[in-house]
Amino acid sequence: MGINDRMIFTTPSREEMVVRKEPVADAECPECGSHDVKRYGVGWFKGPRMVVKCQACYHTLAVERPLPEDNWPPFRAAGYDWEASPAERAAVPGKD
Amino acid sequence: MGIRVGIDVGGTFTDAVMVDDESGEIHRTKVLTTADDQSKGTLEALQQLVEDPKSVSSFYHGYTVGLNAALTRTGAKAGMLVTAGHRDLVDTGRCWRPFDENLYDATWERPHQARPVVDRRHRREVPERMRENGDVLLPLDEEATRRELEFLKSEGVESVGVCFINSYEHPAHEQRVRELIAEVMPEAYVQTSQIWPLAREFERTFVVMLDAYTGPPVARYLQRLEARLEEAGFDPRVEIMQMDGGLRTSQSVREAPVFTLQSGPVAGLLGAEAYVREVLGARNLVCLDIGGTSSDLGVIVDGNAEVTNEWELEHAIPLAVTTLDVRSIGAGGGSLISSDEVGSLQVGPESAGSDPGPACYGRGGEQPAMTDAYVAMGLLQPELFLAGRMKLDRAAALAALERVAAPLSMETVQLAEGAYAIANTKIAAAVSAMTIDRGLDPREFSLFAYGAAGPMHSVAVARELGIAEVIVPYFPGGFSAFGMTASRSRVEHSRSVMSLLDGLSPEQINAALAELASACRGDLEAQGVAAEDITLEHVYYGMYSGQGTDNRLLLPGGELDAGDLEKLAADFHDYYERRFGYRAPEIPIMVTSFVVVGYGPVPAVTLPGAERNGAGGESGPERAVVHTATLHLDGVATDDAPFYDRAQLLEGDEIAGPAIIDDKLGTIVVNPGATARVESHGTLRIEV
Amino acid sequence: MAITGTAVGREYFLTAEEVEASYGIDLVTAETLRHGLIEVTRRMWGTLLRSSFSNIIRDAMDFGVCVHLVDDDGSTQLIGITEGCTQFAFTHQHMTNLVLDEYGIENLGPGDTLICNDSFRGGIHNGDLNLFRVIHDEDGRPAFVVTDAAHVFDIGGPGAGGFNNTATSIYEEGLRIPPTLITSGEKPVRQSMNLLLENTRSPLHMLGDLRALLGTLRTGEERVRALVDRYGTETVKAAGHYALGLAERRMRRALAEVPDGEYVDEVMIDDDGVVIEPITMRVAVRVKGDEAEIDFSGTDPQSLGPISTGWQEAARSLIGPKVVLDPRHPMNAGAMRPFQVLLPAGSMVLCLPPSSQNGHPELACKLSRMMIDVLSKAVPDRAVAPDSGTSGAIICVGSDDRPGLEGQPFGASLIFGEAWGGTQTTDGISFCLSPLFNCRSNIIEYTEKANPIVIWELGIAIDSAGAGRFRGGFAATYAFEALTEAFFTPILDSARFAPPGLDGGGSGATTVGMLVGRDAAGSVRTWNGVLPAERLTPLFGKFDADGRPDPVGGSWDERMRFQSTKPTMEPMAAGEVLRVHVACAGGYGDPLSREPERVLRDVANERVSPAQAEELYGVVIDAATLELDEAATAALRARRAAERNGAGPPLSHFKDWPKTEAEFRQLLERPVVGAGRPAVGKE
Repeated sequence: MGINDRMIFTTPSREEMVVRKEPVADAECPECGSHDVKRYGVGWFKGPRMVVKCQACYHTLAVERPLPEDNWPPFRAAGYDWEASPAERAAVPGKD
Repeated sequence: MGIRVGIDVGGTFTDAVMVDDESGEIHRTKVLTTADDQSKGTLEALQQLVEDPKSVSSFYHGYTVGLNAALTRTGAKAGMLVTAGHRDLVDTGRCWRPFDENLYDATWERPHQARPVVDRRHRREVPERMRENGDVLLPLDEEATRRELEFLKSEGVESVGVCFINSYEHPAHEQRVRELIAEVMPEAYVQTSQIWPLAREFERTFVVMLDAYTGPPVARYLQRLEARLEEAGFDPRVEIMQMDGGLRTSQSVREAPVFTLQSGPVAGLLGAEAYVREVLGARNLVCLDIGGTSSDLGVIVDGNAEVTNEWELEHAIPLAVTTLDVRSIGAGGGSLISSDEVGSLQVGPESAGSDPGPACYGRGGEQPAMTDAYVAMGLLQPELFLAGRMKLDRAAALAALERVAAPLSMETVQLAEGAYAIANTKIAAAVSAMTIDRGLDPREFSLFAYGAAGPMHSVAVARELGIAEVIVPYFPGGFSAFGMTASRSRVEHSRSVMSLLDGLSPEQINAALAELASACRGDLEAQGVAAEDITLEHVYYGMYSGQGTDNRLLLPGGELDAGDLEKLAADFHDYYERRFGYRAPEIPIMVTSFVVVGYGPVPAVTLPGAERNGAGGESGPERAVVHTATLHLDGVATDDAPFYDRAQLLEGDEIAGPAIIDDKLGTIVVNPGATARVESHGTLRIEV
Repeated sequence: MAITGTAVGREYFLTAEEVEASYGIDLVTAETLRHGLIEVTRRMWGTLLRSSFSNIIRDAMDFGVCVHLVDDDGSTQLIGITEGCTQFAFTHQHMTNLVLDEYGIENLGPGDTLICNDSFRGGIHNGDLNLFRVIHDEDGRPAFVVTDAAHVFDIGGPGAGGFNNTATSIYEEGLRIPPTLITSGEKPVRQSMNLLLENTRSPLHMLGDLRALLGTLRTGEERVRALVDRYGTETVKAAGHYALGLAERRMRRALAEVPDGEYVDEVMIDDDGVVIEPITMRVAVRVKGDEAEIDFSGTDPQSLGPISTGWQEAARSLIGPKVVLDPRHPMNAGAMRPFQVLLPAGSMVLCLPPSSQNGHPELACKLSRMMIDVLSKAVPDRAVAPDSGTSGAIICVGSDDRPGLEGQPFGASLIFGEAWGGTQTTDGISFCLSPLFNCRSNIIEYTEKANPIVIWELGIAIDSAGAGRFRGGFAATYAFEALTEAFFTPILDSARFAPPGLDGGGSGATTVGMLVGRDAAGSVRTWNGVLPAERLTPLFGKFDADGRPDPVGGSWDERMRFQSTKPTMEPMAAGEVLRVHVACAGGYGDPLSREPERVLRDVANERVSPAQAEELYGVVIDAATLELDEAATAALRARRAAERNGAGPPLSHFKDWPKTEAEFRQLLERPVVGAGRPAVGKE
């Protein structure tokens, strides 16, 4: 996956202005028993997360950090997974 | 020499202090404030203290006539003339919302919008406009001015304030309007920007407006007072306490009555200043005055009370005149203790007031207040309270506290001690705001505590702030009135500069200061101060060019030369480093204004309790123990803790906590681990 | 904690014992330290306010100062804030997490500070700098974070003053700063400082502001350490968790009282400054028990012009619950826990790079208004009518030519306030910024010293506030000229769509912009915000055929120089007077039920005309005597109710704008309503 994919985008269409929710196979809501459980990206108080929620009673089954393939949030810094250079961590005590 | 009397009118009581400089005696009294006419109670108190009217050499006075009128919106029927286009300035509140529980509350109303001092109807627009450099963009439209004045007159307006944009340096239009008012409304009280000729239109308009609003009632009051005094055989010349901590003759107060708007708390701080001078030497003090209903805080640095220009009557109703910085703390003896729907524990800001008051007053109060907590902790003993003149209902206190404690599943005493701790935190926070925000370190201060409840919190608050000692003066009541007798005449004259320091020559600066000094001298001499008794202080306000908040800084006295200006700049950078944590030597310094303050002579200060000096002997403080009881303090319960009668303590006595010292009108708490020592004049110094 | 959504009360209440069991500290210590942590931010505020340079920080108070705690997994929670600009109370919770996550909190040591302004990391727009400093415990573990934020006047880009309303990408506006180390071990990182200073038109002020911001964080660390020294890290953190839990319980308790269900709303923005077409934002709030989903699905795609935003609406949308459900307690991250925000990628509320967020304020104002409105519908008891929905600001820049200042660049942001809508118990406040901002207006005399500008007018326009049982507030109407050639950039909206009322309340007048010619004496004075049409040159907004502002019957067409409220760096000649009337807020409740005494007071104070009193409020007041005719009022109100037949009241605006100078003179010479009346008393 090139870094462009998450740094420069084209404008999506109007039809796409709905948060996409992916059905979760073989899931059952522990609160109400429904199988209509979906996974989608949200803004949670600590930042972007993927939630797994029952769509019948809105019980949250899980709150997880997004995986790279979730593309959530859309933007991702080019250097996100790179190691910090020595200059960037010079003040950390006991650095090597 | 002779007898000097200070009388301070407070909300409930009018306090009076009489000082006989020759004999060194001090007498005090208090009467109930006569709200309908404060001069009645004032005379009553005066006559209680003084037999022979002719023996009074000086009479100092503070009143709340102006303040009450402003707060209750019962001042003069006033109007304003403002630059056309700026009629709504005073309603804008400069747009912002306070950082308190109202910040997000859509039902909050800005005080001047909800209850204007001068309503929009009587704020009239005059076509005129000046540029910041004095160029006239629009000449004064005299015909339009007359029309507006006729309207105000027809509305029964008796007082007119005039404040135009940029008039602070260019008063010509306002001066002309003053002449027109004299033609159209010759009886009217008039005030213009000359009362505070500095930039910042919002603040200046309010100074003018509040003076127009409160000036007439204050002037009438002074007239009544003088008449009463004269009739009773007293010299009607009175010196009035001002917000800047100085005195001004009642005659000259009439020129700018608003400067006396809230002088009571200021006078209390002056009492502390006097104490610092006479008993303690130059010291840094945090002054804590906590009573049953009000709590005030002030700071003294190197023996001088700190000043501010940011006093507000209410949110966004400023009075930007120089005033001693006394702030109200939302925590005192009457603060209500409560919990809410989520179990948060709160102390204040609501207060029990005096009716019904705390539950222990037995007047039917059901909600627990701090005073009830004091009772539960054992700090207040029903037998000792107010020398037995008023009985405290301990059972009622405990019951009220239980009502809050039970749902929280707390013990009553646990709640009381918890409320005490939270109150201390709030007081400590208020102290931090007054010190740390100024670049002052509270650890370099002593805590000076007075008022009925100040010394109850002082050791705990000192410990929170890292302050090493608490000082409690021997002055049961009337500290404000005493403060007046220790004060002196003060006048201040300023002019806007708004120029870079680099662009000012020593000659220009000296000329400006000389002019202001001359105005101060003239002002003081007109009030009867002898020329040789006048001292002057030179001040400038400055900031880095581009900033918007200036700082009050001292200038060296006398004529300045180029070398002085260089040192001035160096000191300025040092000041910024100390106060804000950085210096910006590459940025020019902007001088916003010059101020010269003129003082009359400092009177001899007589302090009470001199008879306690050097009176220590073989007997120990045990002679003064009048009671023992259980105390709950700092999480420790102490049975049979001693209660001392302060009147029986002598210089040299030492008392280790936990203990209580009772001085009839207040209570001094010596926490476990603290030691109190009696010094000269009966002063208590507590090592925390 | 069980989430049942039925019984409200006990489950949100913790006894002292439960506090101790949950947090490991006693209730009193928890409350004491909760105050103490907020006090840390008060000390930071004291430092920043007094030491900063930009008038946007020191005068406008566009800043925030916060303290956070660090959780075991390195994420953070905002425990205390002193809001200058209230949006930071929300955005810093997200931004601190995003920035520290990206940089790696483990890479930061004592004396390190990060700076970032990027919206995609939770920032606002390029002009708002956010700084982050981690505080380590005695074992070197990150324990707390202090952060601050402030708007700086210029950070490069084509629009001096930071606003380029024509930017269609982030490459066309100011410097974009990813999480960047700006101090390392207490020393400024030269390359980072130079990067900022060399990309701004006002490096002197930028340096001053940066020093102030960095110094403020040092103050914050000192104050946090003072607490830690006294109580220990674990106790202070426990108190932080208590504070968070407290805010969470308050919010959940309030949510639990909202009937479960879906509440929908939408709001219109005039245009994005580049594409002149209205934009719609939509929201659906799904309340279930004591939680809610806030779903922006259906919102228009991101705009070409720079008003759509990056990640920040995940945070800012919570202004709605804050204002409606729990306004009176200190804000912290706990209040954000019960919400999940759904943002369609590529929409107005989650634009995709390289879209610009430069012009975010107008979106923010409308988003805030929509969120308050949707929750007002969910909780009618706490309803607030819509506010003006715009920041109402104008930036004016140029080159000074006053003696001694020739050639010096000048720039002023003129901020005089919008207005909030009426409530159940009060009229809306006048002269106030959006609930997401809390800025202070300019000091006119200082502004005129620093810039060759004359501010001729700052007031209200009669009859323009939305009518209601409790009317909307009056936004600012203001006029200014530059004494030399200058360029202006408005940050305005609500010229096309009037702020509506709520629950039977009426709309406020729309935004209009115009040039004003002077009268024979050289004056541009108004009569209560009204001028003769013959001296007006309409610039934007709705005007009638005679060139008079008319939000109802007027049109915004090719007569106006601007088809948008968001031009950038438009020239104004020396001496031209630009005048803006900012849209006024909506009223709450039926104006026919407003207390007649209140209407009388508004009429006596020339905020409402006797004509509007009759037309919108059904109140009959004798203009000569200022007497209220109660009988006539009762009759008129009955008639008006019948006429409206269930429809809301008309939009509020002054209907009698004079066309000619002569007509205007007559207006000026007209006696003040009630002048000379026999009974003169207090209003």
